[in-house]
Amino acid sequence: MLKDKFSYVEEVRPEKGDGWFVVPPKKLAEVCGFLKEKQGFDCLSSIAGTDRNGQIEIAYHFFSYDKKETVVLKVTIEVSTSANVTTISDLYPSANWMEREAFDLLGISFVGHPDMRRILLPEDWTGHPLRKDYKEGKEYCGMTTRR
Amino acid sequence: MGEKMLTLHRNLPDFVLTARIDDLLNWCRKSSVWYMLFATACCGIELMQTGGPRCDWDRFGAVPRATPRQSDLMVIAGTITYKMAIRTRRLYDQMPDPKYVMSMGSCANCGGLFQHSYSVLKGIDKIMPVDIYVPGCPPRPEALTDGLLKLQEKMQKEKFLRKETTRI
Amino acid sequence: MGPQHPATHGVLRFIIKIDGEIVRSVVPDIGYLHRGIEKIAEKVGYIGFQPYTDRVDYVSAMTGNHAYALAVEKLAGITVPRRAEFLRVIAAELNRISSHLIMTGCVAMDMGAFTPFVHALREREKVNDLFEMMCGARLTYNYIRIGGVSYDVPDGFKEKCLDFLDHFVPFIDEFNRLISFNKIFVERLANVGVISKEEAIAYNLVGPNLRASGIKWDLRKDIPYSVYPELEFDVPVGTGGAGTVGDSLDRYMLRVNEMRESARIVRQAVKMLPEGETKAKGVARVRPPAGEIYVRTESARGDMGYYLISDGSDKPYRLKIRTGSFSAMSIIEKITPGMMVADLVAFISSLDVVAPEVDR
Repeated sequence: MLKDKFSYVEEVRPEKGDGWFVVPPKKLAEVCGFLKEKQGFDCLSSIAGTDRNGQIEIAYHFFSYDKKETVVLKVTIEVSTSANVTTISDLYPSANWMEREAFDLLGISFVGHPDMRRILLPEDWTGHPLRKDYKEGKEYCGMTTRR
Repeated sequence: MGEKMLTLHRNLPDFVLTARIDDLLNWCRKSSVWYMLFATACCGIELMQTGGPRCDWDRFGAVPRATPRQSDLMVIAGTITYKMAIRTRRLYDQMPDPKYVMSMGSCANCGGLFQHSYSVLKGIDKIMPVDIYVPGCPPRPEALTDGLLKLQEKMQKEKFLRKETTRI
Repeated sequence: MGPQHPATHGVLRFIIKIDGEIVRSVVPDIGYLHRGIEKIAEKVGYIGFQPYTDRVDYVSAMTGNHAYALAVEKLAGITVPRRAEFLRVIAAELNRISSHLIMTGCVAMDMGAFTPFVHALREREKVNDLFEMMCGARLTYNYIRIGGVSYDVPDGFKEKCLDFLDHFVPFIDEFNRLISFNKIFVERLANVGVISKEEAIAYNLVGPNLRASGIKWDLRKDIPYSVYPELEFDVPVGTGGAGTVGDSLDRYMLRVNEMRESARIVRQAVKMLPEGETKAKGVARVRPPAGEIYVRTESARGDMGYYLISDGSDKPYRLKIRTGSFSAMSIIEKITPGMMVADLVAFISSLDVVAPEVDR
């Protein structure tokens, strides 16, 4: 149904586990708007980012209480050119904190987010821990990180 | 002089007790250890249950206080992250002397289960002096009470009024 | 306000701007208990990660175990024996009772009434005794494992469990007489922090918070898992009895009624408990095939989702835990302007937020 409306959306159905739709980063807001207004997916369950060796893949899980269905959208961005994604916090208020968490732990910046700053780690922390190449520092504020 | 003291001692009626001032002071202090309500994680629930009906800390004189300015004991219950460690040290500095710290549970002792983590302080003794370590994940109320009793024994042995003499 | 404060449930900090007694803005500051659990999963592997699932929501640890076990089993295609499924349901529902006891006691304590809290703790000790019989631990059980449960229940457990339920259900009425229908308590909670249906869905509230706003949604009935389809129970919904639908009193009374329903479920499950194995075979070196899965279960604080990406090895590639309290914290900023400071405390405690769920 999504493929009929938007030609640039691809569907992936692997052998085991759940399937998902791949969306280009620039068109995310359009597809989300369609899902919310026309298809009734008014609840954003989670935003999860994964580091795939140079690319970051963000998975959005949308849920509809009436249809009892989940739709998964995936967006892939390159880390090196620091491409970024538009925010969907104007459509889905719950995305506000979830995008801040993704920024904090993975370093993805969301264009148009009202308050893009770290949420879980201290403000002066360097690095983004969930990246696969993250190295822990020797100490933080005078406290050693070794046992 | 010693003879006179002994005669005086033997002639006192039954309801008069004598003791060293140090012992008396220490007994008073150990019987009313007021602890600060400081609980970060799972050990906090066990701390609450220890103060609860079955294993009651109130019978040892230990009541919870919300503010560090009125407490003697800080029970570090739960995992301390780097973000929290700075505030914890501040709370410790706000407590008046003499103060004691009891490190409860594996996370406070050495980082515990979360040693692999990037944001957990590996043991509270990296930032403050600890008197008693209580192991467990979380420690049972009986273990925590045992820790309090050991702390009371430690407090009983402290000397305040006797000065150390120095040889010139 | 916080991070060390008797009214914040754990280490939460709020930066509050007030004008006399009226609150102008509340900005929550979280992250004081961020332990990097998701990164640890990538280091320790599937089996090694099981104890960490307790600590995500330590007040209802069994449901955390359950959600993780379901995710791995679904991806790896492991079937759980029937006896283990019933034991899992008994454990999860008893844990729901003990979690709601803490919440109702804490709401009363935050209003200034210390005695109901101690009564709730006394009942919780009895539930802890039952858990000790099952698995030996009082708070972080690690009982529900991938493929089944860790130990079988000893003899005498069924009778003790039914005795506890016979004692507990009248206690709920006693608790209500003690505090729930007290005039001052009701006036302090009614019409405080009203969350409408649309706001609840938009901010992704789940579990009792969502049901209190009038939406009849319970994962155990609507997208059932385990043996819940065979058990009979009702789903309480917020009715706005003494105030508006979706206020703090609704959230509180809903949890009291849920305890009654959980007691019903445990009674049925204990009577229906079949004989059999408690563990599936071949789980020790589980390697789910490459793929991803998103599984949700109804925990005491709402729906806990585990999003697991596996690459075929014995360590997860990415594990994301989606918890109810994270979204509940985000709605505080929206609802609180205009309240009094005392109402703010009532609102925060009625949302039943636990710090490690927010920070993970």
